[in-house]
Amino acid sequence: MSSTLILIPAHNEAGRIHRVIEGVRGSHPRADVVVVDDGSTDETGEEARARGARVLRHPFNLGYGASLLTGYVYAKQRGYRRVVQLDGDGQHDPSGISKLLGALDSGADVAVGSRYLAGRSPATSFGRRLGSRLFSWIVTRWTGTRITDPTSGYQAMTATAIAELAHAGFPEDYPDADVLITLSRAGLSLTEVSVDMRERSGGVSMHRGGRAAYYAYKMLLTLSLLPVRRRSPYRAERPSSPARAG
Amino acid sequence: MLSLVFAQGLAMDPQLDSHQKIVAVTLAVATLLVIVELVRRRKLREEFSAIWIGTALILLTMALEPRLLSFFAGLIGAKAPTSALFFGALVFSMLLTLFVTLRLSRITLRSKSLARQTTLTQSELEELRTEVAELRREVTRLQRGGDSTQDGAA
Repeated sequence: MSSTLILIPAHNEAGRIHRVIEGVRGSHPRADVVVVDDGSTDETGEEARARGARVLRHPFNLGYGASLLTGYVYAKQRGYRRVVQLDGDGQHDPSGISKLLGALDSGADVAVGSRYLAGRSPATSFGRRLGSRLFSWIVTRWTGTRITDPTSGYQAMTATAIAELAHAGFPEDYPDADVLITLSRAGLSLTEVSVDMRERSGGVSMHRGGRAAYYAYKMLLTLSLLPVRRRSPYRAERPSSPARAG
Repeated sequence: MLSLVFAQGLAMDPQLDSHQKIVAVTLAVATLLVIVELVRRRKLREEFSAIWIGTALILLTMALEPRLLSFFAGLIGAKAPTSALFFGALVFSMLLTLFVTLRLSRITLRSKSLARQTTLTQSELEELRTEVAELRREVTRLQRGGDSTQDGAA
């Protein structure tokens, strides 16, 4: 068993997932690859299995965050030291994996792959750009680390961060800005790494239309509740986590 | 102007007329019967029935003793006992809805958690099956190679 787990949440990504797995296997042949098939109605699971990935199949659609959580719990149970998560739709270039793992080697607990760090302006709609800017500003203020792409699903984390996240209470729909802030508050160190992202090779983005509006609402609510909310959902499992001013 | 409102208030009958009374009592008794029957058929859990039985009983009491309703109307500053009744019903519905959404949140969380556990157990089961199959093959191979006298018998 490898000590690194590549975690790929996927929902209806048949026709695309095989390229993602091949890309990952090509650059990291020794890492274990797990695909969380989130109740797909197509052949996502079979396709992933055929390419040599272990498939964890949800009996029905649980959501993106829930898929990540399944992966974290799996990683924790199996004692993986590091987890890299990337989306199953082919947006995330596997070449970023080495950079993210490199950031963990340099002492970070969580490395976030950013599209924007290299200075490229995002080729998305105005609304998304505005939301992205806003959450980026909030997360940067709160964590004290410059985070330009808080909604990025391309991340690497250590077992310590996984232990922090792998329990019920993890946001099961759209985890991102709030999770980063929570991890930072738990005393874990964040860093951001520039990665390449491609346009989606098909399928449907999670952040679209009304869902994007709900996302923005939910994130603002969660963020404003963070300081007063009970710690229990993200309780630190280590008794003496260094408190961080923030 | 003020005296007009006052006069209206005096003129208003604090008692429900018999028509209103019949409707209210019928409604309360029907609710009670339906709830009891649903519990009997195990369609409704006992814990949820309490809130409905309670409501029906309050409705029944108020219908049979309209002074209670008038008292309640005065308490919340309602001008007519009937609007007090509506107000009470609205508050009850809101509370019930809140209660139901709370339960729904919990059930959602639990079903997701259950689904996750099933997923992980399933994966572990598949892994164990593969391992057992490999071990079986290995045992068979060792038996064949290790003991030539049993080889013919097997």
